[in-house]
Amino acid sequence: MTRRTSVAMTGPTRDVLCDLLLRSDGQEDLCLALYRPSTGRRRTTALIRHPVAPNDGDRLVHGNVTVTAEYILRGAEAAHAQQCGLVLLHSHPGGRGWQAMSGPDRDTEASYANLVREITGLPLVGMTLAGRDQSWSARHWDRGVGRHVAPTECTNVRVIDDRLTITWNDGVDPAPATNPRQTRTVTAWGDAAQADLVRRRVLVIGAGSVGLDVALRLAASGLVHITMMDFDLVEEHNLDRLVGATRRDVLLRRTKVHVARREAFRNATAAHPHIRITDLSICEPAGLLEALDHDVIFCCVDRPWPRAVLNGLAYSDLVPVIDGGIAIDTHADGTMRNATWRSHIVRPGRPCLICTRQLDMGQVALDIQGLLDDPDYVAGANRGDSVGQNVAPLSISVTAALLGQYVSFSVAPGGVGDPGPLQYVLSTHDLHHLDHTSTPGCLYEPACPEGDRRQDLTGDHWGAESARAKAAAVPWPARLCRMLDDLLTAMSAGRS
Amino acid sequence: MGGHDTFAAQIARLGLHPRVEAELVIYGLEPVEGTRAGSVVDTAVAIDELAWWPQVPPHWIHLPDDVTLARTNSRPSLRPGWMMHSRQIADWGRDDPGVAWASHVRGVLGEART
Repeated sequence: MTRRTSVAMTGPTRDVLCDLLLRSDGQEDLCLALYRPSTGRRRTTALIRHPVAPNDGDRLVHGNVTVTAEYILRGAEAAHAQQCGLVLLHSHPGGRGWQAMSGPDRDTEASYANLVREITGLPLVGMTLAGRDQSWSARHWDRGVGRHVAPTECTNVRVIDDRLTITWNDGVDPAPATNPRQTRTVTAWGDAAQADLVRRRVLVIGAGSVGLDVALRLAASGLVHITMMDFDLVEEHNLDRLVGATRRDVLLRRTKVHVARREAFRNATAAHPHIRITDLSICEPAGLLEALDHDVIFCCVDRPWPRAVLNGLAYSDLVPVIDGGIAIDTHADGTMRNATWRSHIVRPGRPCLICTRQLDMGQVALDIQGLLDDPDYVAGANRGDSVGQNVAPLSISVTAALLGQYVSFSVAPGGVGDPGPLQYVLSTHDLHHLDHTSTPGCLYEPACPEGDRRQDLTGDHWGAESARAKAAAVPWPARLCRMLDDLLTAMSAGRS
Repeated sequence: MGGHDTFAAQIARLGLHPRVEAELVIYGLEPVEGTRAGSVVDTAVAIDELAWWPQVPPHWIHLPDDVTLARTNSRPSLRPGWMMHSRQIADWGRDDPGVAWASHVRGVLGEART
């Protein structure tokens, strides 16, 4: 399997680079920048941190542009000192869309690729900016050595700002053809947006009432690559919220992700959907690696530890996280007082979950130690926390809130992207724009992307291991019934 | 530099004189109110709980047996003659971690009955 490569940067970094590369006289220009790698299971992303601006004489502009060895050496030494890799960027002022490398472009990058890797220990990343539409293209010079050094063309370049702007490499990841089942979807936002949306690799964490619904609606809109992550089994008490799950799933000890995949396949409109499931936890190192392969993550879990991991990931690795949840309050007599649901995008430029008071790191310590599931501890602590709950008639509102955020972030209807944190109050039916800002002590939002040097919060996750052991301990009659059930489901899908 | 090294460095800057003994970072703290006000009380945090410092704060506060708290969920400490007490810190991540932790522990010691 070929390893995929990508580049990601924030909007402010993009703006600085555009200022350096797009000249008023219309000539090509170049500059250097530093990056940190973010290594997933199947994809490596170069996270651009900041430029190394050229000094006078560092490059020769003559219609085209030539870089000097002194500038490359200065950049590589700065990269080495900061434990980063080096990016060589240049512009094609008249270009539009993903740019192929010209002969001179290739020769220049190839001539410095070995030297840069020798100094920094990381592959040189080459990038081209198309001046007409500010599209980016990129490659990692990560194959071969000496005269045989060669680039791996990136799948995409992602810019995370008020909207997520992705330039796709059609040669590596071509847009799938729209089919008649998607006609109404395409009319909502046009062919270009559809070609972008359906190629994104989206991870849905948590296959409960909200996660399952998010996944199947993404599949219905034509997304090709969806991954669902959850280690829980379907249980009797889930059935009043897990639409699509049945008592048979409980009897057969199905996992929630199995049900979610089945429902997503039933609703998928892509010609060849790739809907993957995993019973890992995002709190485990392998779960984090899986997450780093994705362009966007939906967080549909309410436990503090996974949400803390995702809160860090959104800033350290520039993978935006669409997060939200519901709180249902009751009176002492058990009658309903109110319900509120929130939604927000966790990304550079927006406050983190701690600053929006959606994540209590004190509770993360409890969750990591398994104390939230320890009956002795819970009894002794006399905790007054409300039990996390959701109900089917309202979970759809949380799903809608998350997907609404995602559509704004991706398509920017009317030119307006990420709306910021939102809260809906059921009792009064008011929608509030929450005016949260990052606190001065925030460890996440102001930091440069760290990638593989992040302080990640993953570790052994007893809850996930225990659930997987339970799922693996299914007796053979139940396994046989599962196989028959799978067969019937496949035959039924074939008929439809 | 591990999480417990960072923790020790941060509380050392506050004059709390940390030392590592038996998988604990032990330091002295002077409460400003309560029965222990004005005298230095030894207290500790388990190194295991500092793996993700400062992102994740510790949960358990280790104290000698003669420090008793009115309401507590406690378990034996790694250090003989000590107990560890369950205390969840609020609003973590908004202030300097060392200062916030010292303030939290001072608050807990202010509740001490003996």
